[in-house]
Amino acid sequence: MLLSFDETVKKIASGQLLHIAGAEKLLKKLPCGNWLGGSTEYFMAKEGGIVTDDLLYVNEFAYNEYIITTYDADTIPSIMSDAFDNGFTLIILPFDSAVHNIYAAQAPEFLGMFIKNIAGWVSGVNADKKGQVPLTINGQTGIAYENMAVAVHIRIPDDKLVNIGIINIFKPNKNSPVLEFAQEGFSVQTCLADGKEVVLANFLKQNAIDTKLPLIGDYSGAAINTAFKSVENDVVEFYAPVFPHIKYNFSEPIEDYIKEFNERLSEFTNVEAIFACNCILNFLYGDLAGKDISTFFGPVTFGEVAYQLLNQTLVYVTVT
Amino acid sequence: MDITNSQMHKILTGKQNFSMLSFSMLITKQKAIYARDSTPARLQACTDEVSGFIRKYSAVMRADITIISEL
Repeated sequence: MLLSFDETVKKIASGQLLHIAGAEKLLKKLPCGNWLGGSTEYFMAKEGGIVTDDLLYVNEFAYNEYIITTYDADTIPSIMSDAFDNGFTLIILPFDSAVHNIYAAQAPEFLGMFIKNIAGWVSGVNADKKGQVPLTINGQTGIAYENMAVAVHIRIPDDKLVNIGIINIFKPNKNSPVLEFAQEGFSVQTCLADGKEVVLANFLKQNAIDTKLPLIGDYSGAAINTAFKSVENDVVEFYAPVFPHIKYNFSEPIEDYIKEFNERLSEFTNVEAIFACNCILNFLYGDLAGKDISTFFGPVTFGEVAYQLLNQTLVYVTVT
Repeated sequence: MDITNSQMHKILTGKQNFSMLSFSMLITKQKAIYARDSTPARLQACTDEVSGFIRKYSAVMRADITIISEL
C-alpha cells in the first residue's frame, strides 16, 4: 500500500517485517527497524500508476522467522545457500551496480537456484531528476548502499508453498527470425538470425524493428523478456544479458498496453500476492501514469527478479 | 515421483515445454550445462536435481509431471 512518511514510520514502530520502496530522500530518513528498501519514485497502486517522491510503497510480511542481509558482487553467488528451504528470498539490487551485473549474468548458476525461491527488483531513479543514484537500504542498520544488494530470507510455515509468477504481455512474433547469440552479455554486435550471421543493429534498422518491444527468450515453455536499452553505431545494449543457449524472437506489437495488461490481469483476480512489482519500461512505454491497473500493486522497477533477472515483466509472489 | 535417467536425457535433448516457471528455468539451465558436458555423471546430477525438485513441488506441478511421465 502507498503510505505517507509518517504512516510508514508508525508501521516500522510496530516491529513487523516490511518491504519499502520509495524516494531516496524518504528512505534515508526512515528510522531503523525490521525493513529493507530500495529507491524508485514510480508505483502501481490502487489509485493507478503514480510518480511521487512523497509516498512510500509498503508491503507487510506476517512472518516471524527471517534474516535481513546484504550481498556484494563477491558474495551474491551464495545467496540461495542462505535461503530457507521452505520460504522465499526478496532481493533488491541497485541498478547498474557490480552486484546487479553479476546477478544478471550468473543467477541461474547459483547453488540452490530454482529449488529455493527468490523474487525482487532493481532499484533506480526518477528519470526526470538529476543527481539521484539507485539505492538499497538495510533498515535494521539504516545503511544505504549504491553497490550492495539487500535481501530478506523469509521462512514460511511447512504447510504452505510459495509461488513466484510472472505476467508477460508480450508474445513471440510468428514472423520473427530465431535469434541466437554466441556469448552471454548485455552488449551485442552480431548474432545469428535464422542461422545467418548479421550485425544486429543493422538488422534492427533494415527490418524496422520496434526496440520498445523486448526480445523473447524460449525457456522450455516460459517466455522471458530481454529489453533493448540502446542502439548506437553497431552496438546493441540490453537491460539484461542475452545467453548463448537461448533462442530468441522479436515480439508481436502491442496495440494497447493498458487493455492488454488488464486482460491478462483479469485471469488473476482471485490471486492475493504478498509482493508484486512491474517494469519501468511497461510504465513508460505503456504510459501507465494515472491509469488503473486492476491488481498486483507495488513498485515500478528497473529490472525484475523471478529467480533470474527479467525485463518488461510483472512479477508476483503468493503463499498458499 | 523420481525421474529416470532415460526421461532426463529426453528432456535435456528434446523440446518439451513446461508450465511451472521455476521448473522451466531449471530445465533450461540444465540443458545448457548438458550441451557442454554430456557425461553420464552430469546426466545423473541433472536427474538428482530434478527428482529433488519434483519431490518438493509435486503438489503444484501436476501438468509438468504428466509430461515427464509420458516420456
